[in-house]
Amino acid sequence: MPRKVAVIGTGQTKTKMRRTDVDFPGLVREAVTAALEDAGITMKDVDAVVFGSSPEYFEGVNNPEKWCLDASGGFMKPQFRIHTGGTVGASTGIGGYYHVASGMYDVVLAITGDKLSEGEVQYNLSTVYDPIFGRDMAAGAPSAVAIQASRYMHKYGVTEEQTAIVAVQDRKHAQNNPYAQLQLDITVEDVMKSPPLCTPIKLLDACPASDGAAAMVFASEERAQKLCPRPAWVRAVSAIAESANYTYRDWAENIALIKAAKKCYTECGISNPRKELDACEVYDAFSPQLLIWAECLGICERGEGGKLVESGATSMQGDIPFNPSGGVLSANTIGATAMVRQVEACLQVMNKADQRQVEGAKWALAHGWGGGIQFHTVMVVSSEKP
Amino acid sequence: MAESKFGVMKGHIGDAPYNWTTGRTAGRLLEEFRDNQRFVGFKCPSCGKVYVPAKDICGECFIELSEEALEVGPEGEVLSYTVVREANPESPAEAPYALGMVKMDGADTSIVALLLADEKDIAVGMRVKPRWNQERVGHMNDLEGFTPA
Amino acid sequence: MAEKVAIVGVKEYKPSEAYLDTFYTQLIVDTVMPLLEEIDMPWEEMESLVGAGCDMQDGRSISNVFTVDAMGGFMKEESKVEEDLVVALMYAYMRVASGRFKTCLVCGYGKGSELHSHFFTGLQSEPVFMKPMGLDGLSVSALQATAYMSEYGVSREAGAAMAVLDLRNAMKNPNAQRAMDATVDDVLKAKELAYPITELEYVPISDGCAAVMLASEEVAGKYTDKPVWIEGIGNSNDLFYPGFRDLSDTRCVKKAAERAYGMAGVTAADIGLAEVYGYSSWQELMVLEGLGFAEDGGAPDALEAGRFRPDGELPVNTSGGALSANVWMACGGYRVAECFRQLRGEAGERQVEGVEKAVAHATTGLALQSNTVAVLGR
Repeated sequence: MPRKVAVIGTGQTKTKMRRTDVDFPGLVREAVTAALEDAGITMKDVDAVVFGSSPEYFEGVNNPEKWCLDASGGFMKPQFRIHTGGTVGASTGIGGYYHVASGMYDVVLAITGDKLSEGEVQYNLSTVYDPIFGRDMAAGAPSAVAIQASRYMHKYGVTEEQTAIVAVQDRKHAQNNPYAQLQLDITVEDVMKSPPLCTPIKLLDACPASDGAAAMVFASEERAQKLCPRPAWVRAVSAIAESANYTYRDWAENIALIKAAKKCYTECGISNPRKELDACEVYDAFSPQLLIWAECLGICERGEGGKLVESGATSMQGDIPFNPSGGVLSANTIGATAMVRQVEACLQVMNKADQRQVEGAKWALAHGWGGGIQFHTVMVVSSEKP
Repeated sequence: MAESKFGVMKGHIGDAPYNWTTGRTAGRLLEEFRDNQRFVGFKCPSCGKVYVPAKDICGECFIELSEEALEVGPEGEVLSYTVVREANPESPAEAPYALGMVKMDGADTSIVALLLADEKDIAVGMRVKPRWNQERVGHMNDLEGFTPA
Repeated sequence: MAEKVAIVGVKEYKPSEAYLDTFYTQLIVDTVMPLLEEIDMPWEEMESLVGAGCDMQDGRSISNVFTVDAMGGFMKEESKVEEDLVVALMYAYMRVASGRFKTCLVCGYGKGSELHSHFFTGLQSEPVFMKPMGLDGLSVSALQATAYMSEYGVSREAGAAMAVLDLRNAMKNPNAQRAMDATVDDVLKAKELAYPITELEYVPISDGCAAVMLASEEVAGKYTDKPVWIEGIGNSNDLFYPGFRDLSDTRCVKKAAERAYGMAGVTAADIGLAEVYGYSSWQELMVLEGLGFAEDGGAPDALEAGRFRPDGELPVNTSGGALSANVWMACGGYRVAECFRQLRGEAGERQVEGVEKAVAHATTGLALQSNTVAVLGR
């Protein structure tokens, strides 16, 4: 019987294109300080630290967790680094969960972040592509997502206007989020008129590149009960990897995400996610992705993603708000991004989401993707103890 | 590339360009290298350790270092050294060259820098003083190295 | 109540200075598939995977994009620790101990031949103070060796004597990359890389892969009748910048050992064999002290007295250790493999009689900044 684990505090830095006042460890320390404060504990109460950040090429330092050791509070504590690409934020959160679930530790700090501005982001992202098989054709992340979007939109007749709704909605939600980088008031027309990056992805369909960090404090049942009046109980976690390239891969859906979601729902006893979840934070690095994720998460039928967002269901006023935080389209540090989805999901069920609170939220889901859009993570949190 | 509030270090790894932010205390030390050819340290308000160089916090106490910069040196002591004969593509000099861990008088940590001396004249415990480059830009290389004091 | 976790199988790819004709994912496939076969585990029963590897060594960001398939992770619960295999082992242990997984593969790999060794370790240097000085695994290890010699009045020969033990032990290891009937003199006369470290006292570069299969107590018996239990595992970290700490102080190794021993309910005196990993023989001496196998500064004397020899009280690095072969990111896996075989009586010519508990150690970071200790028992 797995040990019960809860999140008792979270912290994040305001995301910005470039922070000039701190180096990467300094950025990490801000998130750590915020999380400790939120949890009402000090570094002395922390039994272990788990650190995550995405490709080392971004900051140009290998083993960044060693470099950030002092700033993460890891002195004389257990600490190691998890790195799974774009999902790293979530994998690290999941790592924090397992640290406590294992019985080895009672209070664990999970930290993630990146300072993308230290180098040339798209150059560094191009190093994802295999040097022998793909790097000559690399054009950063947009090219891969453009392939995904083209296939999806063609298969189901989804239009660019429909996907543009996501761009508008996320940035509108971001206006309620003091940590978000892009808080824009735009229309579908603005999105349609914005310059194309990699058709069908246009500038306003794309996430920004940010400097930022986030942290979460995981605790055992006993400690959570002592330290936190309304913790976010971790009800299910899953991280599944499909392959980057296989001959029958259909880019219009992700079998890894479908599986991860099903596993989590089964564990939580959720049979109707649209009804039983109160909010979803998904990793929409580019607008069309939100539609695909909504379908794979079973919020709507396959191919109905466009209609879902058109109906207003995923807005703050809808029955299943997506990305009350503004999502990845409003801030993307890459390293912390998937963790921020978990942080925001926790804030919702802890009733600490301030202006972006979905009223009465008790169940929330956080999603992340990474790699060749093959790694998918799902975490379901609730104010209800298992 | 945007200017940093405290300093930017330009560099490369292979073909990839970088503009690393220095942070407050490291930035200040580099400014002192450039403008005043001297070393400064920052103190931990909890344990009192004076950090030279400094990276904004005391990792042992998990607390921010002092606002105030304290002058240290001008001389220091070699705590450890090596003579590198197999360099790497990023090495600061042609091999063989000597590196030393130098604790400036008044500091509680040491800084790793080039030792500009004959191998036979280097020993743990020796006293050294800094030699500065004529052209200084606010970079670790403003310090040419340490020579026997 | 945490589940007991066992290692039910281990496979290593024979390390080599360079496998020019083998793509890195092939190394992995040719390690993992034979492991599954050997322990008769159908692929469906491998529930989870934790990989260990390094993007910068691979020259590919998010390198697990391609290695997950090679490790058999398709559509499975997976994660990746960007450190040595022993660290990934610790995380995998947590996942099985939690009760959520009955089995978990841990796989670490590396093709060190694809890049310059010191350039690679130099990538860990922070940009402002360290990169301009070209600090790397070699130069920082050398600074640490000098600090250690100076602090404890240890002789120059000490590092060489440790290297001799490793290289001679390696002669009995069919998986050795470097093995020699060396003398202290041979080691001292070898090419000096950075005072006081010569080529024979520093880790070589290797291509290789290691895979370890974990299973909970409930199912371990399905795959082996000689499970090796992970009785304790601990990790600790020191400050980053080398000048911020006394490089001769092994407080970090001691802390990691304290955690591992505490969890296993043992002391250093209960350990019958140890496999330790540092970038040079000097770090190995220091680690032995940190693990409590000798007094501070006393490892050289203990070594000279024969304590760590294969026929001594506490055999160390019977495999030849990292000085024989060093696959970055998997090196600890080869340490685990040797302990595994010794505990099961499968170490052939190298077999030490009656080993009940063994320690596998690995370091990550520069100058022993981070250490992981595993106590394995039968």
